[in-house]
Amino acid sequence: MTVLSAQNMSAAHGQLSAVQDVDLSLVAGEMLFVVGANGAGKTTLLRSISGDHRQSQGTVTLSGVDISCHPAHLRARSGLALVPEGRRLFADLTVRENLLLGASTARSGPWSVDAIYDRSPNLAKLDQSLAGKLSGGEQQAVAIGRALMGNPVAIMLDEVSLGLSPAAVELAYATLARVRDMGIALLVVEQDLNRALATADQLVVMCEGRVTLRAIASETDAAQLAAASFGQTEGAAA
Amino acid sequence: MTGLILNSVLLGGYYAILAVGLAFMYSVMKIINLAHGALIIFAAYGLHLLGAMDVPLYLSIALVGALMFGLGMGLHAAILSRASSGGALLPLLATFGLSILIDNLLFQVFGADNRSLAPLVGDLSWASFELPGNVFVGQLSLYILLAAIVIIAALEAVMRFTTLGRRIQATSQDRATASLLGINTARTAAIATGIALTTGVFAAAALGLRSAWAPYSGAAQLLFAFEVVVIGGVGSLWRVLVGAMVLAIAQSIGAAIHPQGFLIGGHLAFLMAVFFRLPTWRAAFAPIARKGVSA
Amino acid sequence: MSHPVPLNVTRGSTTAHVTFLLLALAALGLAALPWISGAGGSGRAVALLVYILLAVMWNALAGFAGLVSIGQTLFFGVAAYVTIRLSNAGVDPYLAVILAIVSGAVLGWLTSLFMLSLKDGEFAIGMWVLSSLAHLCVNLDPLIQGETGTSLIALNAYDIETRNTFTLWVALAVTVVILAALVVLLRSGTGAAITALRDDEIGARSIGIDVMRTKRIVFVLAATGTAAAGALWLASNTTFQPRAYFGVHWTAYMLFMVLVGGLGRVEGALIGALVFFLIETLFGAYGAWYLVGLGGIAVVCALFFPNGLWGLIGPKLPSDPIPTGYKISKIHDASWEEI
Repeated sequence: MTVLSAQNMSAAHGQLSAVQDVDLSLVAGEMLFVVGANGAGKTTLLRSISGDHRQSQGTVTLSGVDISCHPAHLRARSGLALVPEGRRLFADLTVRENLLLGASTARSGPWSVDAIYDRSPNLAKLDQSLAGKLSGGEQQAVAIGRALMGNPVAIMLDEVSLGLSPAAVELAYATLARVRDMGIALLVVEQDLNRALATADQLVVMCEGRVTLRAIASETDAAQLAAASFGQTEGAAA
Repeated sequence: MTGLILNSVLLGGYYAILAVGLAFMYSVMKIINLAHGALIIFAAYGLHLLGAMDVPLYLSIALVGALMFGLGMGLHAAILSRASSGGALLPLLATFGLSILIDNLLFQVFGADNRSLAPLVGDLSWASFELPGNVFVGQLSLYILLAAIVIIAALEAVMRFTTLGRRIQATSQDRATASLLGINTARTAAIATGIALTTGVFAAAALGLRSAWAPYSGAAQLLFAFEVVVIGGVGSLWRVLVGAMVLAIAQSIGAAIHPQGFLIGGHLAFLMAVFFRLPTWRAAFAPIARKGVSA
Repeated sequence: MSHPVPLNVTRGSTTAHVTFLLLALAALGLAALPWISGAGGSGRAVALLVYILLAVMWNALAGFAGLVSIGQTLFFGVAAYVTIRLSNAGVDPYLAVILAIVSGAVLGWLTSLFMLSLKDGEFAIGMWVLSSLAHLCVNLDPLIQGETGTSLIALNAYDIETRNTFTLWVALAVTVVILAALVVLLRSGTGAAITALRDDEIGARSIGIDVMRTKRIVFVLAATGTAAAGALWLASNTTFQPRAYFGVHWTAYMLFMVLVGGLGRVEGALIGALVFFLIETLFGAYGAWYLVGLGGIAVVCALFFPNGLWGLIGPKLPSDPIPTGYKISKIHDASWEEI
């Protein structure tokens, strides 16, 4: 069953069109990767789906409910979480406080601070640390935990591996794999094509605001993705 | 000497109550509410009106406090949210315009007479405790100081230990991310404004009990409150208490030097705080200082 | 390099010529007022000029340098006080007015050394503290006798007709000189920096504009103009009560004029001053209600019409009445593009 779908999404920054006519849809427990060069519109796409940026046209449905007209906080309360680029933790608050803020969606579900700490004992040790003092990998873990605290049905993550050490990237993706296994749909923006190929179920390549390639991960390769991200392949391979 | 310091500390209690709402709004919303003083005077008239209807003071404070909370939420929705989206200047212009409006409306409705709440509490306004060494301490002033401490402690506790406080901090630090977590940031900011204005009712009560006010007294209260915030510095609300004490001591010293030096002393303390705080100021004077040395 | 497109760079326009003609006629009309309306009209004319000075200067400060000051009364009040003091020391009152304007410039420069480091709201109220401090210090002067005040007695040396006429001419000359100074400044290299600062402070910094120096120039000019207004107000009204000069109602007037006229445009400030003059003439007698109205209109303008009346009028004109930027056009192209 489709959990998250975005149809005909278009968004602009002032006069400048950033996203044009993008369609996406994810079922429960599916991992969809959006890849593409800088400025391809990936971040704007995620922000438009989350309601942080007003889409100029398009429909977002979550678990079959049209949330296109909802402001960001109501979309979050419907079960759509975004882990933004750079994590955007509240630097002056502690790890626990950041996690507790994730519960602002007021949705019922399995997640609590203790449940998060059970899964990531490393975070438990940082309980009272200020989020601004953490390493990039630790911040990413808190950010994912904060998203889970809202008991979402779908999580979008922007630039997961940006600024992280290779070990931290491994850890983040191990966490995401477990999140997916719980039946949460994941929409991931990633620069690293090989990582995307190794992890994704579906792949979408964007170039200059448009989708240039859709593929099943097992049926494509890095060369095809790279070509598509520079706009050299038109149409769909899947 | 002991008496001067003691009385300054007590006066500082009043200034702290006066400034805490302004400081709260500045630290949380990054807005300097220039209508802060006018709104305190508005609340004072509310207390006076209820007092004239024989409503007990504690009940008046609760009622006017609730009114101020609602007013704060309305103020945010109608003016501040709109103004603060237009840059740093518009909130200043809009709240200053609002203060002119409130001041003159109060003058038009209540006339120019001085009012006081002192009659509502009978003896308390002049009763005092005697300390060893023949030092007398006004009871009311002491209660005001205690109230200031309680209010600051309560606000700090709300900010640190409650869900609401966390949401206010999140909204203040990064509004976009806060709303991505499901926080209704507009409502949260409105509640924060409501809280800031609610503290104004305690300032109004303190002002009315210890002295008197008139429709245009708001400007002077805003100046005191602002001087406290600048002298204390931004950060924890406890700094308000420090700033208030420094202001009160500076004023007392000014008054000891010259009969009309009370306010001047406070203003000079404010200017000194500005001078010593700003590295750019030192940079601006560095060339002059160097020339002075070489000449 | 390809062929350079032939460009035509101009800054005047028909609209500008018409505007300057109208302003010149208005100035001549005001100068001739004593013969038209007798002595009574002169006082009102000086009031209008004072409002124009206050509006244009406050607008330069808030609109161009992004500095909202609640304490411009510092310069207004101190200039009036200096005029009184100098005149009391035997200086001719009109010379005292001129010297007071100079003292305003000096005070503005001194103040700018530390006040410009403050941000937004801190600057706004910081200026107010300074104004309040100056007010308190002036009250300490035995000559002023606290709030009782004193008057510019030396003016009694002139008979009332001559005095009023002469005050008007001095006011007119001072206003023209200061407005001309502002326009010249805005058309100079510094003017381009000021415009850049108005539009985008961070951007201005990033292209190498010395933001602090630019702000200081505007601040000192605004201090000078506001001081001129204070000294002229004293020359016209002759009485000096500190509260009437340092009072925060003057700030309310400045805010009103600038917000109603339109923030960031000289034309807007002129219109704002004119509107305020008319409203004051018509409704000033209503006292506090009148101020309630001013405050309310200021709030509404700040929230809903940040470009004020000029925002409604300006775009309808073919070009800028007071041109401070340049117009660039291709020589054979009729379409004009302003930069």
